[in-house]
Amino acid sequence: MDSRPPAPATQAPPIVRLAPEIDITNSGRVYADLEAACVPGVGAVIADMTQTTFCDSSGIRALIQVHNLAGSRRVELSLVVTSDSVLRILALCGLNGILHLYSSTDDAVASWRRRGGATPPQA
Amino acid sequence: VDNGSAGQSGPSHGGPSHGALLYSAVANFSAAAEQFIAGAEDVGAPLFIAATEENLAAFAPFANGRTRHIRFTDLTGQSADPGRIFGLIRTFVEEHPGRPVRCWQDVGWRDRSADGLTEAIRYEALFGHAFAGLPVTVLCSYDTGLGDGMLAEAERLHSSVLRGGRWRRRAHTAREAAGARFDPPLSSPPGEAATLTFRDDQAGVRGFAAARARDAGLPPGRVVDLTIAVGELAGNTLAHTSGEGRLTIWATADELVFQVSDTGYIRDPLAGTLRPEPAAAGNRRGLWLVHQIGDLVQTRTGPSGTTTRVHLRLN
Repeated sequence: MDSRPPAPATQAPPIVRLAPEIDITNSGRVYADLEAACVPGVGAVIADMTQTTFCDSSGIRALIQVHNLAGSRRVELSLVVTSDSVLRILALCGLNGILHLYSSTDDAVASWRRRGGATPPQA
Repeated sequence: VDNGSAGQSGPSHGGPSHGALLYSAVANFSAAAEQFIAGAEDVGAPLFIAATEENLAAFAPFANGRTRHIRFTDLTGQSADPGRIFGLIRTFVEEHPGRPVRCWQDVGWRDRSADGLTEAIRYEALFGHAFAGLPVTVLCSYDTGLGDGMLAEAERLHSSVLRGGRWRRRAHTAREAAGARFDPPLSSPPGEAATLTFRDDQAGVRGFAAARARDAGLPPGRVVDLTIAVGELAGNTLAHTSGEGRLTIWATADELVFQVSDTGYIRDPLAGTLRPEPAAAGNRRGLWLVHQIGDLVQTRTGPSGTTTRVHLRLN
């Protein structure tokens, strides 16, 4: 977008697009894909859930596990969520203040850049 | 076993106390509410109050200036699912470790559905098991207009009874003390209910349920909720059993009702009541989520299988 401030020299964080529906049949794959992206030194990883219209508690569990693992690797995991259903289960589980949620990938990238592309403190 | 010092009569117990208030008029209710709040104040006990909108109003005159120490839950504006309320009480107790806590819950109000009453009584019967050894006092209110059968049930389930301003202690029978379960069978689904047998096709069972819920006029936000609840129960079938599950769904005049049946056996009668830590990576959220979503959730489980039935109000 034109209105975006000029990007600093930091590399853009990798974006992992998640499945349209996440449940017990594919939540293991969600964990594996995100875990593989959260390599130490990458700084941040964005889980793009803009195509995801459903996520059950096994998917939530996978996201929490990756979030915790990413913290221990000093990687910030951001989730981009637009679906009412996914927002609802995140709210029911009390995760709004725990996981880093954004409504667009641009917002997630911009927020990370605004903060200087800093890696989070060691968990 | 506890000896029943419910309500205002002091903290002189080391374990749980479970009393019933049988009230016939607003004045009865208000007097008990005042005593309850004053009694908790005397011992500095944190207070949890879950009541209907009408009964919450009866607490208001006595709660002035003390509301910081009282957590209110409105059973009219939100789900009155007994499993959810039971979990709120458990969570409240766990938030105050080692402290005596006082909880009030309306159980038998006049226009509560028969299924809602049955399920509430089922959790009442689990009280001793859930709170064994904890310094928690719970007072449960019943409108005497519910009739003699319900009042006898209420008396059977509590160690002390407050009626007409007087407390009466009850001796538990051996069977009661042993924590006898109360598990009346669920009614049969109506003949016109839609059914789907499933196992691996999880998206299919969610979509099937959502389509029928929309057809029945469930509001869009609640179709979202229904899909989450169906997904959790269908996912449990796949995760915890080796066989097929069966979804049954139907509408009544004022509710959308569905149930999932499978060959699983849920051994913990309190499964799904305790709120999981948000950041915990454990795998125990499914049934708890179902209880947060349903206006009423009924679980019947045994060695031959499990059925979980969820009711959602149509408006």
